[in-house]
Amino acid sequence: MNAFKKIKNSANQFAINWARFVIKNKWYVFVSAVALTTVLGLQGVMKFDGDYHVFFSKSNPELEAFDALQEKYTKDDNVILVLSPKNKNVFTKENLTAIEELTTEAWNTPYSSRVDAITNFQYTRAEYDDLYVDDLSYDSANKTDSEIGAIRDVALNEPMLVSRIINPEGSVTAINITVNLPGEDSALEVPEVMNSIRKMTSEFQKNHPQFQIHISGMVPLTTAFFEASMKDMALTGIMLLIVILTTFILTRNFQSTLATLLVVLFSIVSTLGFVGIMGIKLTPPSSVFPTMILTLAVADSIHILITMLQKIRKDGMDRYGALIESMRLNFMPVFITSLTTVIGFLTMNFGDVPPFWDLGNIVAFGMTMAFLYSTTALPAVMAILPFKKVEKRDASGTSWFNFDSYLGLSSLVIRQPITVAVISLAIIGGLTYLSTKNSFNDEFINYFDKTVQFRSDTDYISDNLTGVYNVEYSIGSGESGGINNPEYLNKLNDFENWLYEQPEVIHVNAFSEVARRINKSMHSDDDAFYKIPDSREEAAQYLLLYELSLPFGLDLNNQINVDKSETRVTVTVKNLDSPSMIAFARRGEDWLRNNTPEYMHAIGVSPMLMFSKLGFRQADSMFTGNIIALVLISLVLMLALRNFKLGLLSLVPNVAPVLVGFGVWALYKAQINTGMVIVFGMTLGIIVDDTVHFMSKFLRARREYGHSPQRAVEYAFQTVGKALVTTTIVLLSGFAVLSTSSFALNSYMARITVVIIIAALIIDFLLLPALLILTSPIKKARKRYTSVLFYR
Amino acid sequence: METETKYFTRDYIAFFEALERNNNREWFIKNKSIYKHDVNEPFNRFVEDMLKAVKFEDPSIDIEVSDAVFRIQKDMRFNRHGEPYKLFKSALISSKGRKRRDEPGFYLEMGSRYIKIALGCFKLGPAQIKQIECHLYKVYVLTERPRFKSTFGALIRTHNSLTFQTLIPVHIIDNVGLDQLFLTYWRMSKPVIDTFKTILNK
Repeated sequence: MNAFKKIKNSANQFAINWARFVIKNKWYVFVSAVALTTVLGLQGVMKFDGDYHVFFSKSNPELEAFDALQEKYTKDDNVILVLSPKNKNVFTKENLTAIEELTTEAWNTPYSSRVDAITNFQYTRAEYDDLYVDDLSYDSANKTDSEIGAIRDVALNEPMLVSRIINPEGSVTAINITVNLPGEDSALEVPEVMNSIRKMTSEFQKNHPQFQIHISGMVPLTTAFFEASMKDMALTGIMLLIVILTTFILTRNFQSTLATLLVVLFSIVSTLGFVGIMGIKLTPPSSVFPTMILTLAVADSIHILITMLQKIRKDGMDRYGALIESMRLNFMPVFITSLTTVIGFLTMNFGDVPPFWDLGNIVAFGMTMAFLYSTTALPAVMAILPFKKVEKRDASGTSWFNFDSYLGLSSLVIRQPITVAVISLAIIGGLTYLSTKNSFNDEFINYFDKTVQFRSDTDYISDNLTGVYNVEYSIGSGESGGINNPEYLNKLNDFENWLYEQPEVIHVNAFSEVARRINKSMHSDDDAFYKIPDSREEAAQYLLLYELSLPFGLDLNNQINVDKSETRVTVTVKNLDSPSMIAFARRGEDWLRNNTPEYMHAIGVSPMLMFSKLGFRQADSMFTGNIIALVLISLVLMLALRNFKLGLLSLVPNVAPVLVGFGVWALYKAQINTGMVIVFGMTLGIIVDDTVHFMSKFLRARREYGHSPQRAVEYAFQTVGKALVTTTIVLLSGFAVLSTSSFALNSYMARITVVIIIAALIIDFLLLPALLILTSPIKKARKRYTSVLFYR
Repeated sequence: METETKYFTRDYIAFFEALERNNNREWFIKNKSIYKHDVNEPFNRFVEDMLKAVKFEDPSIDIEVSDAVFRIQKDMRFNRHGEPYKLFKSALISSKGRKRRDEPGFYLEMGSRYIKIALGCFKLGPAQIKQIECHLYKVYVLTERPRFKSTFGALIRTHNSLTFQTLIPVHIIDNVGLDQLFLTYWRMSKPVIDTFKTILNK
């Protein structure tokens, strides 16, 4: 007996013995599975983390730069309340009084360190030799119309307010609440802030129904991430129903449906235990794991069940015999599918986005458990449940699941393999070219679709008041206290003016504006002095006097660093896509490099920039992971098929669907986000299933039965066509549910996966058989047992 | 005094914020070097420069820094179970220093939340209080002026003190020219302090 035959026989025997063991000890196996699930499930703890920081690894340079800036100044986590009075005029006694009231109330927000509004804007004015720094509008209820008119004039001509706190028309205004979260547990701190905000705004609207309020900011963003995670977890329920329905329709058997449901539940509960044991905090990307495990676990179970039912219905076997035979035929393919899927998901650890590491590890564990339960609990349940004896059925008629349905498809390929191959490759080539037209865009506001309150509020704010994206520069003066140096201030002034000339810029907040304003005020509000002070001493004195007049919480610490050697420039920009944002920040950096001394050079930082660069960073880091996945999976296939050439050939049907997917995406949206970068590794393991089954049946027909390549292709269609279509339908239904997510990282990933899975099936039914025919030697194959995947 | 002198950094404020959370001996000893570098030395330097400037304008005030600056440790004889450290540094600028609080003077206190500036008499006997009460109109002549009143407000009476005070935001602490600012406050206070002295010396 040769070595190959020994391997075949040992694998064969193992599967048979395994099945016999499970059937003989069905109750013990089932109870053990329940016990294992219970033990793991009891460790299950679901904690969520919606903080946007979770998307960035600790070594992410943009995050490091941003954190460094926040350390130097103050953290700028904020909530912005945008108020739109129905009469479209903020400057009425009633409206200003209401805004004053809300501003005062806003100071009670937990962890708040600063509240900026139109009413408490620190307005400087000079009266003879006295400098006054007061709230722009206080005690508004007792102001006369002319006083309110004066306030309006000041506000709408104040550069620090317009397009930041008030729009140029004076019809929309904002209250910006800066919060300083301790950072110990965002799952507690953020809801505390948001609950307070929601309560406060709802009471305000009851008392002042003339206002519309829109809420945005970094704290609401975190809340939106958290709520997206919860919503996507709820999709699991819908998916479960779809899976039950799909399984029942495809198998037409109640016991199979129940067994599948149990496998799925056991897998998900066990995975929850893993999440708890590992202390993983779920985030929007990783919270979709139940849907993914559910989908993949069902695909495993379907293979075993359909083969079993086929043996009962067509070959007239008894239940236990059919089960053993199904396990014999499917154990290794299911093992290889699970292994390749695990490999594919584990390669997510090569990426640069921690939530996707978690997703990869969680789903890899889930797939392992799904394999375990589908080869233990599933057959045990099928052996336990009563089964009505079914008469052997003739395979006749024109049912969709009939052999004959696939003969038509196979005959197309057999008759014209060259044509099919050329056309397929041409289409794939064309779509591959199109796939290069995709560009990265990670505007994090657009992660949420328009049904999400946060998104609609933020869109309103950016359309009516100010931009929601910014870029910040920390510009040094080269020495402690150097911010009072007129040379520094003049350069800063020039930078500010250059920024205002840029088409993307809505507003610039720079210390040079403060210096100009104080200088003017110190000279009896003479416009000629609306410029940088002439001497350092003047600038320092004016700064001291100005700061002396600022009330608690409204100091300049958010703009000036600890030793007064650097100031922060905040540039509010229009909605820009990722490449434009990166390009704009770079232009600012280049201007500083070309026009200022070295100590004033700075890099642009902001959450939007962090997200903008994330996609590129993820793609770069995942490249290695994808190559490794491809190599490993190809090796697995070469081993499984015992054929180097076919292992190499399998690269085509394994890689082409992803290229087709991105090509179709280029026609649909042409923009990809960070979540889509992982689809190659993720889907590779899923789509390789189709290739494995088809190629193994092809090889069996060639080597065992001595069929010609054409007949072998026909045989493959007949034996695995239905199973491939069935598992594809199951996978599609799962990812179709996920594609309805309101969170774009998940929905885009799911949509492209749907395209890839469909493309994989089409390629496996058209291109793969054509290539197999064209690359197979014409002479009759000798009978050889060389694959672990066929057992007859 | 040079207006370019800068005495403090925001580390001064940070130290007291941390002390408030850890007001115990172990923590203080562990962080004593920080206290010395960021709080004690800058404060002493500031008071020293203030004293020099004040002496130039009022030669009767000729005390050393050690005579003016209060210890950070609280007197635990009457506060056995309380917190051992004050949450501010303070100094009394008068002709007799901190040990003679019955002598009218100029008091400043810098913590993490505010800077307090006070003037007047900080520890008087009953007879002294009565003496001042009889001649308070002489003080009011000065303190009712708009500039003084808007800065220091009304007289604060306790059982053993008569003072005026104001709080200013502590975030100005790291500016240059702080000494000039406080000197301005002292100059505003001097006539009132001198009047208190005159009344008490009668």
